[in-house]
Amino acid sequence: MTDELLRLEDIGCLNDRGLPLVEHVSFVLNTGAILWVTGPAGSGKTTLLEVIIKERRPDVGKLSFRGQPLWDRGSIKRSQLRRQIGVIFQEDYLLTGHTVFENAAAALQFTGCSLSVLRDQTYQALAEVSLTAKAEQGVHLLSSSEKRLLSLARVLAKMAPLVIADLNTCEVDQKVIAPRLETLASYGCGVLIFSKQRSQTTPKAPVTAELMLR
Amino acid sequence: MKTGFASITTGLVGVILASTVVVLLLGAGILLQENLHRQEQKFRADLRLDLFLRDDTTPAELRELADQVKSLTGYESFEDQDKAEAYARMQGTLGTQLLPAGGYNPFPNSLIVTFVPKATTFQNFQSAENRLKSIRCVEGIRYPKASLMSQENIYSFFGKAAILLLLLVAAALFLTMWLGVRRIALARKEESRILVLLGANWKQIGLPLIGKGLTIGIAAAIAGLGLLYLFWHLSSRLSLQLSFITGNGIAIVTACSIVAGAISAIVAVRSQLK
Repeated sequence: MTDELLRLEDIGCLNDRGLPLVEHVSFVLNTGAILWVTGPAGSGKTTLLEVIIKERRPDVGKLSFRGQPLWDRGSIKRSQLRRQIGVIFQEDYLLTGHTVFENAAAALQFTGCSLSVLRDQTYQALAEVSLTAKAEQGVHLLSSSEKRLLSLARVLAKMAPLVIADLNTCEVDQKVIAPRLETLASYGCGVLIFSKQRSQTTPKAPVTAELMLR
Repeated sequence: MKTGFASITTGLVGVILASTVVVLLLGAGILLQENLHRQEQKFRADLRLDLFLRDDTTPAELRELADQVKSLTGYESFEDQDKAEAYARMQGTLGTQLLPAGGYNPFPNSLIVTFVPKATTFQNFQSAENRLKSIRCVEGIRYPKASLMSQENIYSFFGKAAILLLLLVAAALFLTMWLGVRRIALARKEESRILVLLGANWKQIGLPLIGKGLTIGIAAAIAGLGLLYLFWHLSSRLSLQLSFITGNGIAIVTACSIVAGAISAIVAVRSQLK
């Protein structure tokens, strides 16, 4: 049985000059499903991501997460929503001046888990991306590929029901992160991937769909 | 998670030092104001209203006058001094025989009226004079009119100047703390933005900053009052007879510092979470 995680109905956003950034976007993402949202640069992928994480209010349309509206009256709080979502942003958004471990645990710390769970899950996630040896290093010492992997570790450590990734065209995103995210669906996560194109290396995932933006 | 920003620690110390200087100025202002007030109280406590009576004053007139005196605003007590007593007192002061034995004593009988310190104002003395001068048995009324007027003008001017100065220093204290906490908040702005994206709520972002504001307020109050005590101790060696600020003054300085720290932090948090 699949549960509905995320529902978008006829979403539309305009820019400051009133021109459409995204138009008529509708989809439903269930648990254990993968949805690729693809399109060229400027097609509104990042805008759509911002709408889903309540960073931007849509001009038209309705959204709900686990049946709860995102923007209407009585909607879910922004912080509560984000605690249930793991996001890999296009930019790394790492905490400079902090260690690799602290960055990997950054999202998990807000879920209210115990310190031992936080430590165990974070180290497990770092092991999955082969960054355990660098756990105590500052993030400024990481290469750009390692920083992308750290963003993945932050999501893996959190084990959120919904995982969203805004992927770059770089190799690590397409060949390492995308396939790893798709495997999360087999654990019951809903996975939403924004990318210019669907990765060719991805193995067949449980339920996969693609939405193309123009 | 620890902050890890060396600049934030440096900024925190800088804000505490700057705030300490302003708290010191605030304390010094309160110290001067309290000493000025104390000086005024001392001056007023010595003020009397002397009523000189006619030699032919009857006991009934004296009783009536006493009733009138008792109804004056701020009345505290009166002392009846007869002319022989006045003469003896003057003679004792001068130490010489002023009059030949059995000669006419020109000193009048008098009533010396004292008021509570709050009521020893020029206005009150003048009003008492206006009420009592028409009474037949009162020959003359005396109080230090000129010096009271000039002293009141001086106390009023310096009192208003001190309050204005204190308000300015309090504003400067808030401004110093606000700029400092804002600088700390700005240094963490990017980190806060990321943490909000990851699910932090306003408490998780704001409470540490409010904690820093309170820390600045408490530290500046302690350091400022400590320095003020040191300066006061040194000034007492220079024969400046100033009293250290009272418990109320200490409470005002501490409260101003802590409240300024907390409010400036809340303002900085609000701007950061926008």
